Amino acid sequence: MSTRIKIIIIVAIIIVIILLTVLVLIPNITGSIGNNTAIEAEKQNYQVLNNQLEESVAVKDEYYLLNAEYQKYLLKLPSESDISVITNELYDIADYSNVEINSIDYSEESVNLEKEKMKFNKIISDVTIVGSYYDVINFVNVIEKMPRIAKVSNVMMQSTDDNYESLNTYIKIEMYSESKTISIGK
Amino acid sequence: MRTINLLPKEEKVRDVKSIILNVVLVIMVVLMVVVGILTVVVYNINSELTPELEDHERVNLQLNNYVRKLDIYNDFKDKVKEKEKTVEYLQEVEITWSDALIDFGKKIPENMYITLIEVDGEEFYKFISQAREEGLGEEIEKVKYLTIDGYALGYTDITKMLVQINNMENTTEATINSIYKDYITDSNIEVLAFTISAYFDVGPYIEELGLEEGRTAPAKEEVLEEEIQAMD
Repeated sequence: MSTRIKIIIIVAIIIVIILLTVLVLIPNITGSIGNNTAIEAEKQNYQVLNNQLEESVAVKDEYYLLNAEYQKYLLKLPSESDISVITNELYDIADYSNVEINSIDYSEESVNLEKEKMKFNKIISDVTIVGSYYDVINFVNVIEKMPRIAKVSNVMMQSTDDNYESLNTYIKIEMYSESKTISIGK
Repeated sequence: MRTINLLPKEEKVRDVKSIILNVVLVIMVVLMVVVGILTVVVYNINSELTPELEDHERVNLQLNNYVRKLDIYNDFKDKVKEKEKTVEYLQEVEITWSDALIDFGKKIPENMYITLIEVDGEEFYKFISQAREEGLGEEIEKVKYLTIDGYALGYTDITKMLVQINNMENTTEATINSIYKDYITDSNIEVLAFTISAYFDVGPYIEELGLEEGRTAPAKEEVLEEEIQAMD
């Protein structure tokens, strides 16, 4: 084999080695390292997702219990103000307590407690009624025991000149709701 | 028969260049084989890792989708907790005025006519709300909650009324704001018109809510004695 041919073969082998290294070996090594890292990351991600899944499945299992609790709280603190519902309830209570409602004024304010990180709406009902002392107390008592949270913040009873038994009474009631939507009426 | 070569011995010339080329050629061939084998091995490894990674990605994607679907339950749980917290906050302090009014109705002495009763919890609720948000000040302000206007035949009736109010639950102090002589023209009777105010005992609520320990309301007996002395 002549020297020239040997040199050509050597150069050819070098070119082949370079081509193999650049085109196949390095991309595959890089790819393998990348794939390996990605697989490790996916394995960790799998663990995290699996833990989340277990927690979510546990919550799903207690969904009915949570829903029952939610319905209970929804009675106490409805999602909406429902002025019409409140009005109906007040008139029903007045009928039951044997007092007469003269007027109801509604107003609403949004309460934002920064310390407690809490937001809710306060519906204030100014109710004036006429009735006897114990009938008025009965009216107040029924309101205080409503399923919905209702705080009687002010009661003012004043006797009338015409009838000793009949008292003009002003009652301020605070009720609460979650949402901000309201239809203010009288 | 042996041949005898009498010619001068040929001297072998060493071709160094050729030897070096041969060595380099061998090394290059070996290197090429090694690189070739390495390439095949790495290619195979990579070929195995790629589908494995795809499998992991597929499984995690499915798992992630399922977890996202179940997130609705976690959100619901948070919502229930938030609602529970708000309800507990709103119900933590509540005064039932109906009980206080029933109690008051039983305690009105004879010879007395009440023209106005006002029970006002706004000041109390405002005080509690402020104490929760900002804490208690150095001094706890008096929280007025009851105002009564009426007529009585004598001083003793008013004093009796004052004692009864002082004995009422949640009352820390009751005071007479005014007494003056009045005349009921229809019945032709001389009476005493009076106004009484009572203050709310916030101490138990402060303790219950843990707003501050060690705060105590003035003893009812002391306040009562002071009032009776003032009457005398």
